[in-house]
Amino acid sequence: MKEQKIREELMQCRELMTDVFQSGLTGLPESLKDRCRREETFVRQYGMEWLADRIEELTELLEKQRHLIGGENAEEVVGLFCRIITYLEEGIRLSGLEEAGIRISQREWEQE
Amino acid sequence: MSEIMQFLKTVDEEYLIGLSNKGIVKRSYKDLESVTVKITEEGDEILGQYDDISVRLKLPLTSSTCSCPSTSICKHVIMTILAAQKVGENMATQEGKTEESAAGQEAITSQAVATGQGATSQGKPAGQEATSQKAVQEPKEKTLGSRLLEIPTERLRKAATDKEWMGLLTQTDWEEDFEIAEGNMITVRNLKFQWTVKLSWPIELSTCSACHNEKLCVHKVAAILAWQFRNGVVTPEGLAEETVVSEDDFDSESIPEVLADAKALLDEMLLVGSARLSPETPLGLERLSLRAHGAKLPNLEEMLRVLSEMVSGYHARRANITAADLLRKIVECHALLGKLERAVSEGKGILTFAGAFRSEYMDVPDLLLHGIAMREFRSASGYAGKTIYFFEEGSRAFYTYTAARPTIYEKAKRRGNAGEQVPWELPCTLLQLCSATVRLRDGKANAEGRLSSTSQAHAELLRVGGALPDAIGEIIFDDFEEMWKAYLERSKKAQGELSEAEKLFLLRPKDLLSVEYDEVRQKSVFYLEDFQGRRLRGELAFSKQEETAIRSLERMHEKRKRQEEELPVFFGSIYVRDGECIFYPIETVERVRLEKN
Repeated sequence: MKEQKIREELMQCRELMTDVFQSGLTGLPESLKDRCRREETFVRQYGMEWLADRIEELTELLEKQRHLIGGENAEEVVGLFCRIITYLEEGIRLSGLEEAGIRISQREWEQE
Repeated sequence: MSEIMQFLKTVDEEYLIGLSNKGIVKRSYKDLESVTVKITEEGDEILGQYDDISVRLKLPLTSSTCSCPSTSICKHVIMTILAAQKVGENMATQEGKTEESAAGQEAITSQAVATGQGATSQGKPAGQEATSQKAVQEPKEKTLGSRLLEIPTERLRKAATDKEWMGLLTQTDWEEDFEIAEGNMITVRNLKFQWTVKLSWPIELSTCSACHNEKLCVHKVAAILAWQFRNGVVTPEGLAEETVVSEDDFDSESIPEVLADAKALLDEMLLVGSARLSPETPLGLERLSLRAHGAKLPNLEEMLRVLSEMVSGYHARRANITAADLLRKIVECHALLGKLERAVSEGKGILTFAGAFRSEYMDVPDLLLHGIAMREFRSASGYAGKTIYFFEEGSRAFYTYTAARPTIYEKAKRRGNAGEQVPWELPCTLLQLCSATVRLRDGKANAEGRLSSTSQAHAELLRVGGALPDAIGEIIFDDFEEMWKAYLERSKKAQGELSEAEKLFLLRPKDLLSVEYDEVRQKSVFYLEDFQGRRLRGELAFSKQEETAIRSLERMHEKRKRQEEELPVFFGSIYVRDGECIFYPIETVERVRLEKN
């Protein structure tokens, strides 16, 4: 189901952002940087250009953060990060509702 | 015809109910069948007499008096109004006959003139011709509707308390909550709380079925605003903006400080990351929550308090608080801070985001409550108790009553029902209440349908057990797709944040397909099937409180397999998880209670 795939992709992206949150927004470890680049590609493949652009922007800003002492970009990073999370939460909610609606309309499906 | 007689012509049954109550009006109609009230007009007053009762009707009708000991509008006053209306009708008929013959004369005369001049009035009925001529001559009076539109917001604002006003602005859906009918009066019905206001002019002649207050009460204010909104005179944003942020409403100095400090703390939490959050963070959030309370920002206060508890839970490695949950809440709080900051800097709209204290209880009209379920609970925040679910016959809505007690200090195991008080001094137990029928007067409920145990309410226990009313049949879903459409509509209205009451549904499935216990996740999973072959997943997590329900479901399934039993109606909550609609069952309602449905 297309809606299911979109929701799962968004959840994966949210998981990545949660890991970024755990690590903090003052920099980006290499492992997370690679994951961000990959996630940006996957998200673009699903046609979510806005989200892909924001992930790209965040990755670059966090890279810059590593080299800044005073955290001059802090407000910008936090603002961007919050916008991404808001988008993901709303996207997951709406795609979840769509998917649930399709499931409930089905007359023949297997029990889990 | 006198002014009071003219006014009585506009009074209908709903207005009379607003003056007194339904019971008095019904009794008045009945008693009038066997009694004749003598009506006499005395200037601007009407005197009604029968037996040894003497009633004096005045405008506003709430100031009418009766010789009986009653201090409020009694049945004698209502009977006098009804009798006076009858007299007024007879007078009008007489006057009408006199006017018609005079009009007829005029029309014949004017028609003769018009015909002579080759006039345009050919073909019009004589009465209409005369009437239209008369209309042109009379000065144009303002209609009731236009007078109501001219009432300034300031006057309405002053009639409500700060809390009432904020409640109106933040908890009212001006498009969906009201039904308005125009007639001699403008009738405004609140569909959520089922009260009715009959608006008249002067405004003191209006009645309110919720509080029967003769003054300009919050319900009349809401009714006038609903009328003004319907006619495009006000908008919710305009109302919030017009309510100026002043020293009386908000402390305009401390708010920016609170917002700035809250933002600084949230930014720091995001920058350092959840793995390095300081152990002082929950305390910092709690302090900010208190400051938000002092600055009259209830939405922010609640959010910061919840966040403080979540961070504590996260530090304590509680399984139900994950980094994802924490992140979601921080971002939600951040978004609210942004909106509040913008509102403060622009000097308008702060009320929209400040919120109202959501547990605010408001007056509700008389409710006829039918108990359908009871659920025991034990919360993580240290409370336990029981929630009773009611079906309200008039509004077809669900209401709840919760009897809770703190468990934090309980050392010994509790016995019996100590600490779980039955509300409104009802002569029954909580268990009996969940299948009882209760009439509740002067009650209060909040926006989520939670009933208050206020001592000002008066309740009458009509019966325990027995059949539920026919009206409940209207809200039982036997088609899961229809149920889903209803859920989506509620979700859209609530902008995604459904209250507990809004998630409640009654389902009549065709079959209970399977019941299996998931040992790993510790929950019972079952499937219901509707008459169209659609399936709905149900889940019940294991706990001491739910153990009986799980066993009951298993037994029900066994009996279904042997075709021994008809399925009951299921009452429970709907939610969405991982793209699937899930049903959480609270209770089953036996068919015998719904025998007419």
